[in-house]
Amino acid sequence: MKEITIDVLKDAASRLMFEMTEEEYVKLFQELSSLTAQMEAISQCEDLDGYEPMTFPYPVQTTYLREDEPLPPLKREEALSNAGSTLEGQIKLPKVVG
Amino acid sequence: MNIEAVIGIEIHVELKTKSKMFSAAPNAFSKTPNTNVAPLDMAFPGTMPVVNRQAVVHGIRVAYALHMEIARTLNFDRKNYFYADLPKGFQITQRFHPLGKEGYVTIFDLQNQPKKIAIERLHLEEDTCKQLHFRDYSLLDYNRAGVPLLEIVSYPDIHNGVEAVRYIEAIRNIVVYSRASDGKMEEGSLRCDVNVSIRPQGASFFGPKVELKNLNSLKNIQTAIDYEIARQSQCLASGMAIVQDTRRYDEAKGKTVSMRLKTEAIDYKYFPEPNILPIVLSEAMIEEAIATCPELYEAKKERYERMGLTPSQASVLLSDPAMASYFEAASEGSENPKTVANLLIVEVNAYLNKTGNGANISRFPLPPVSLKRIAAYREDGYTHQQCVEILEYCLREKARPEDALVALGITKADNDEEAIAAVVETVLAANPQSVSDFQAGKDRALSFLVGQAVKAAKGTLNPSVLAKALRERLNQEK
Repeated sequence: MKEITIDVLKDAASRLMFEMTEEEYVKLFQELSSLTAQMEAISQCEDLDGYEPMTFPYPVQTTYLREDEPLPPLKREEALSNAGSTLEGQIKLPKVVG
Repeated sequence: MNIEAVIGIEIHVELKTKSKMFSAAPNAFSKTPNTNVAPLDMAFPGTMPVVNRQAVVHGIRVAYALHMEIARTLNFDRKNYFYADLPKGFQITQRFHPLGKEGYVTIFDLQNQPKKIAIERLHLEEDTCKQLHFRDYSLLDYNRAGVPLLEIVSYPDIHNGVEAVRYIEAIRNIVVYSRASDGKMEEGSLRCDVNVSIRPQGASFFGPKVELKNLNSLKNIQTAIDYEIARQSQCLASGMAIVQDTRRYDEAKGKTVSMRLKTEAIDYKYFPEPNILPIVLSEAMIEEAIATCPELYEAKKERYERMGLTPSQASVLLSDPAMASYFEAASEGSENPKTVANLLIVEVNAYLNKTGNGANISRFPLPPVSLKRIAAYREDGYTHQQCVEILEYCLREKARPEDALVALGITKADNDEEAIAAVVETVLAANPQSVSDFQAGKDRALSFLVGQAVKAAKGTLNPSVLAKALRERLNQEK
């Protein structure tokens, strides 16, 4: 596994387009280091080849599928109420295609 | 060096459901932007995806029609990327466990021989929002965000533009006749990405892969593929490297144009979708989905042929599902569906073409029951010409066929034995040479005499009755 360093976190933040303070990077690094240490502890267990990785904490399955019945949608004003800028009922963005 | 093209196709099909893939917002066409939107479609915090049963049913039916192995558990995954068309920052798809895998569809190749095109996977996912780009800004409409999509990915088994078009037609026939989708390329409910590479004939390696986008009609796909094969072959012949890139088809110029280079594969950091638990699909559910699937294109085609239609008549009717439905309604219980098919293909299509503006059978004013009646007149002995007159009267006067018959004063002429005998005698008297030819054993002379008799009767006598009378009369002479 790739080693996590402050620089790796900064690179990830830059790719995901958000900013953090130096203190936040240090805190996140410490939390991740603690997680990595736990994973290293697990990796010491032997004979794990026959086990599938788990996605959910318990092996839960369901059979539920939603019936295809539409419900009233949001009012347009509501749908757009969080948008910083709108035009003709649509969300307006800075140009995304060059 | 003989060059072989290697083509793989990814098809996205918008599913026809009442609500979206993971939200209960209506999945309906709306001209007003952002009016078919639920909080989930805009990724409002705290919203959770819930899988639409009908989308799964459509997926199972198409997977079955493509002879695929159908998953017994539905699993979804996240495809992460940051772009304005995707409010959540990820798309919910099925990366690791597709609903269907390892299937095939049979098409006809360039020599019209059956050929199996292997299909790697079929999976469910959600559509993105629609973006409109302007010079200084872009606009987002979320009506399409979350619309259920079926993605069907072929193996690179296709070798030319004609096979590609036939493969897409075969997939379209399945999704349209199972009523999973409208399958309209021009409206974007069926979209294709085509990967083209070339290599020396028979080689087992692949050349650099070029992805073609913006292919919104079958004609464009064939032209774009042919252009791309020629372009890559020319690169190879002149010693230039073929660059792995994404190209769009420029319809006006009839050629492909590079959009961007594919330097490295994008890492979408797929991982299992934590907000949707694995969903077990019971055998009963899968069986019911398959058993209740509407009759598919191939089954209909075989049935129409058993009803007496030629393969080409069946294909013409089936090229438009609305036309096929009309035919089925008009031929139900009919003694001779071929007559209904003839009227539809020749006379009704001529009327629709004349009406223009892309008029189709769904706007044809005559109900199927009226066409069935007219076909029954034809079977009862009225001539084709008389039936056409009845049809035209019905359309012009918005009348019923039985009223048209009275108003036009049309009577069955073919039962008039005297009239038939008179025509037969006139034709025999006028063509003594053909009569002696026939008597000398030249069967072709009979066809000529029948032709003359039909002409002399001016469409008022039934040609088959006329031919029969002529043959009987000639045999008496022998």
